[in-house]
Amino acid sequence: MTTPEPTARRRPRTALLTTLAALLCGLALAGLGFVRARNAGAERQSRAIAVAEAEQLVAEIASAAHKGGARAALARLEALRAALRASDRIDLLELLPSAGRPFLRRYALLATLQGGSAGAGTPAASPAGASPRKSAHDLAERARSLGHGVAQLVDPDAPSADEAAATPGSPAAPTAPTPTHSRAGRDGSGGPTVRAAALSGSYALVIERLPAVGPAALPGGTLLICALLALAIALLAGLVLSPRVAALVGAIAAAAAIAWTARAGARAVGIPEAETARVLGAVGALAALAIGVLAARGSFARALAALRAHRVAYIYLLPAAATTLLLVGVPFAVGLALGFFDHAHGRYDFVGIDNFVEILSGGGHPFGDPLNFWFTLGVTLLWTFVNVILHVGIGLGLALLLSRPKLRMRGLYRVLLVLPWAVPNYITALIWRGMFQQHHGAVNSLLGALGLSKVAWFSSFSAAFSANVVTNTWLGFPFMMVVSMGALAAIPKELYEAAAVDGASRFTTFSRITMPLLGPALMPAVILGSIWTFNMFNVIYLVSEGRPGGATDILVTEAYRWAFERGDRYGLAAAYATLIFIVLAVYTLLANRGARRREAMLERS
Amino acid sequence: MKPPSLASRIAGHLVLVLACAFAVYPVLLVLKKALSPGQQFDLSLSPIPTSITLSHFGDVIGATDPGSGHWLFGRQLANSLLVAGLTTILGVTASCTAAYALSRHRFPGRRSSMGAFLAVQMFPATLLLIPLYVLLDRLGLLNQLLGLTLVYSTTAIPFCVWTLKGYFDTLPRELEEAARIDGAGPFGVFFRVVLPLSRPAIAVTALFSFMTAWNEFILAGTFMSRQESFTLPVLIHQYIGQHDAEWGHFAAGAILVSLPVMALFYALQRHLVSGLTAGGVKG
Repeated sequence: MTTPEPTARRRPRTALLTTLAALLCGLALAGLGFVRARNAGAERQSRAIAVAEAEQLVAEIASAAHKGGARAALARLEALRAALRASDRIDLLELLPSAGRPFLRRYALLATLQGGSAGAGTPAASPAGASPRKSAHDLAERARSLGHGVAQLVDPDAPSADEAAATPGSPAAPTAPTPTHSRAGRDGSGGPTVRAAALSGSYALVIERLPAVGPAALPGGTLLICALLALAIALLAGLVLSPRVAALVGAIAAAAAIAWTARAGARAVGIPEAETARVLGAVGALAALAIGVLAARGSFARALAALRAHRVAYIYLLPAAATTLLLVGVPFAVGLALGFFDHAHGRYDFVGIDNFVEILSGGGHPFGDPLNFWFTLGVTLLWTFVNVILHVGIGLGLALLLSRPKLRMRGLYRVLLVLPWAVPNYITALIWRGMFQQHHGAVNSLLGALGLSKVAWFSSFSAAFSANVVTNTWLGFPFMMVVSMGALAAIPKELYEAAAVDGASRFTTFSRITMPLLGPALMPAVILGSIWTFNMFNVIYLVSEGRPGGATDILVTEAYRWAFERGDRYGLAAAYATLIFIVLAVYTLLANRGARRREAMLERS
Repeated sequence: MKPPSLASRIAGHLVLVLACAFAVYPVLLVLKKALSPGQQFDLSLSPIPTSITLSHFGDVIGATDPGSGHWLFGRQLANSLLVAGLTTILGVTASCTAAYALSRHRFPGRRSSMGAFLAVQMFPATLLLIPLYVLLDRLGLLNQLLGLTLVYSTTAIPFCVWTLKGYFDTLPRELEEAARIDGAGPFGVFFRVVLPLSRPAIAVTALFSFMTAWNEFILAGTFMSRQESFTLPVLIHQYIGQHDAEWGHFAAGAILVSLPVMALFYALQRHLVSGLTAGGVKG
C-alpha cells in the first residue's frame, strides 16, 4: 500500500511544467508577502501617529494629576473628551480601543474614581457602572487609595516610592513593579479585595502591554499565510504531478518566500537588518541543507506518494491539524523563538541563549530562594506529584466503592461527586481562597468547631502549599474517578469469576487482576492529568498567590510574573515556557515508554 | 465477585457520604452567598443562609450597559451560547474526523501527529496569550466572536482527539468491513456506521468542548474590547475584578454560569463513564 508511485512513468515535460509553476507561485507569493509587509509598515506608522496623539492627551491628564491630584485629572479628562467630541475627533476617540488601550485602561481606572458615572458612553465602561449604588464613604475611600496610584498610572515610567523602596526581585515583594499590585499590597487589610484588585490589575496589565508588543512582534500573519500557501501549492502539485521535482522546487520556493517576507517584515517593524540577516542566514542554510538531504534520499517523493495513497486519512485529519497548526502551532513557534530575544520598552534584541543561561544558573539567586529556577522546579514537581497521587488515589478509591455490586444510591453519589468538575475552575479557586481566609474562612471555622487552633493558611510554605493542594484535589478528583470507573467497567467479569473459583482472596484479586489491567487504561489520563496539574495556573495564582514570598509559585505562575508583573520580560518568560515544555515532553516520553514496557511484560507473563 | 460484608458496606457508604460532603459543601457555600444579602466575603461554617434574598440574581440578570442602555446579561448570554455552541460543533467535527483517521488508517506521520496533539497541551496557554493576540490581530479576527470560537476549538481539539481515538479503537472493525461489502464508501462507513456507534464518546467530547468555551474568561477578556461582546464569565469575573469586590453578585453569577454545565453533566452522566474510557482497555 505504501509503495511510492514510480516517477519515471511521468513524462519529463510535465515535470518541467510543474517545476516552473511551483517556482512562479513561490515568487508570486514572495512578492505578495513583500508588498503586504510594506503596507503593514505604512499602516502601522499612521496608527503610531494616532497613538502618539492619544499619548499626548494622556500626558496632559498626567500633568493635571501632578498639579492638582486625581480630581483635577478627571476634570481635565472630561474637558478633553468634550473637546474631542466637539471638534469631531470621534476618529481619535474611536481609534483608541484598538490602538490606545493603555489610555483606555487608565481612563477606566480614573472612571472608577467617579463611582462609575464617568464610564458612561465609552467602550471601557467599567463594571463599576453596573452597580450605581456607591456610598459617599466608599467613594472617598477609593479616591484616597487611588489618589497616589493615578499619577503613577498616567505616567507609568515615573518610579513610585514603593518601587524605589522594594528591592527589585526580592522575595518579599515579588509583585512590586506593577502599580496596581503595589497599591493592592499596601491596602493590606481586606483579603479578597486585595486579591481581586491584584488580579484585575494583572489582567489589565496584560491588555495594557499588548499594543507595545504588537508592532514589534515578529511578522506573523504575512509570513504565515505565504509559507502555508506556498507549501500547499507545492503539495498539491506533487499530489497531482511528478512528486519529487515538484516537492523540491516547492519547498525551496516556500523557503525563499519565508526568508523574503521575514526580512521585509523585520525591516518594517524596525528590527536591525544585521540581526535578521544573521538569524535568517543560519536558518536558511539549515533549511536548505535539510531539504537537500531529504530530497536526495527521496524522502519527499516517498512522503508525497504516501500522501496520495492515504488521501482519505489526510483529508480526515486536515481540519483539526490545520486549525491547531495555525492557532496553537504558530503562537507556540513564536513563543519558542521569543525565548532567544530580550524585550525592553517594545523592542526585541536577539540575545542567543542568555535567557536560558540566566534561568538555569539561578539568575544570581541562591538555591533556597523562590526566584531560583531549581527551587521553583522542585516545588512544581512536588506539586504535580502530590496532586496526581491524590487525584488517582481518591478517584480510584471512590470508583472502586461506586462499582461495588448492588450499591444503593449509586446514581445520587455519582451526580454529587462529579459536581466539582462542573464548576469553572477559576470560580473554584476563588471559593477556596475565601474558605481558607484566616478569620472568617470556613476551613478555620471547621477547625475551631473541632477544637483545633486556627491556621494562618498563607504565611508558611507548608500551609499555603496544602491549601493549594486541597483546592486542586477538589477540582481534579472527579475526572480521575470517572476515568477509573470506565476502566473498571471494562475489565472482563470472567477474570473475577475465575479468581473466585480459584479461591483467591480479595486482596489477591485486586493486586493480580484489577491493578495490572487498570494501569494501562489509566496511563493516558494520568499523563494528561500530570500535564494539566503541572500547568495549573488558576489555582496557584488565585488561591495562594505564590505566598509566602513567592515560595508556592510553580513554573507557570513564575513565568507569568516575569512576563506581566516584573518588567515585561517576555523573552525570559518565553524561555521559562520552553523549559516547561521540555520537562513535560521528557516526562511524557518516559511515562509512555515505561507504560509500553510494562504492557509488554504483562503480555509476556 | 461476592458482595461485601455488612460492615464493609456501611463503611463504604460512610466514605461516600463524606466524599459527597467534601464535593458539595463549597458549592452550597456559594449558593448561600448568592442568596444572602451583602457583598462581603464572609464565608462562615454553616451552608444554610440566615436570610434569603433574590436581589443578587436580579442585579446580575438585569445589568445594563451604562452607556448604551443595552441589556448586558442577555447579550453576553447570547455571546456565550453562540461561542460555546460553535466551538462544540467545530471542535467535535474536526476531532471526530481526525480521531477516525488516527484510529483506522496506518499512514506515515500518524504517531507524530498524535504526539503533536499531546504536545500542544504542554506549552503553558497563559504564555501563548501575546503571540495569539498578535496573530488574531493580523488575521483580522480580534474583537470577533469567530476568532474566540476558533481559539477555543483548538484548545479543545487535542483532548477530544485523544478521547475519540481511544473510543474508535474499541469499535469492532468487522462492522465497517461488512458495511463496505454492502457497498458503502469510506465516507459512508464513517457517517453511517462509526459515528452512530460512538454517541457516548461524542457526547463527552461535546461536553468538554462546550465547557472549554463556556468557562473561559482570560482570553475572552483580552481579545474582546467591548462590554457587549464579552462572554458571561468575563461579566462574572468583573464583579470581583474591581477594587471593591461584589461577592454577592459574583456568587449569583457563578451559580448562573455553572447551572447549564451542571445540567449538561446530569443529562450526559450515563455517557460520561463509557464515553471517556471505553478506549482504555483492549477488550
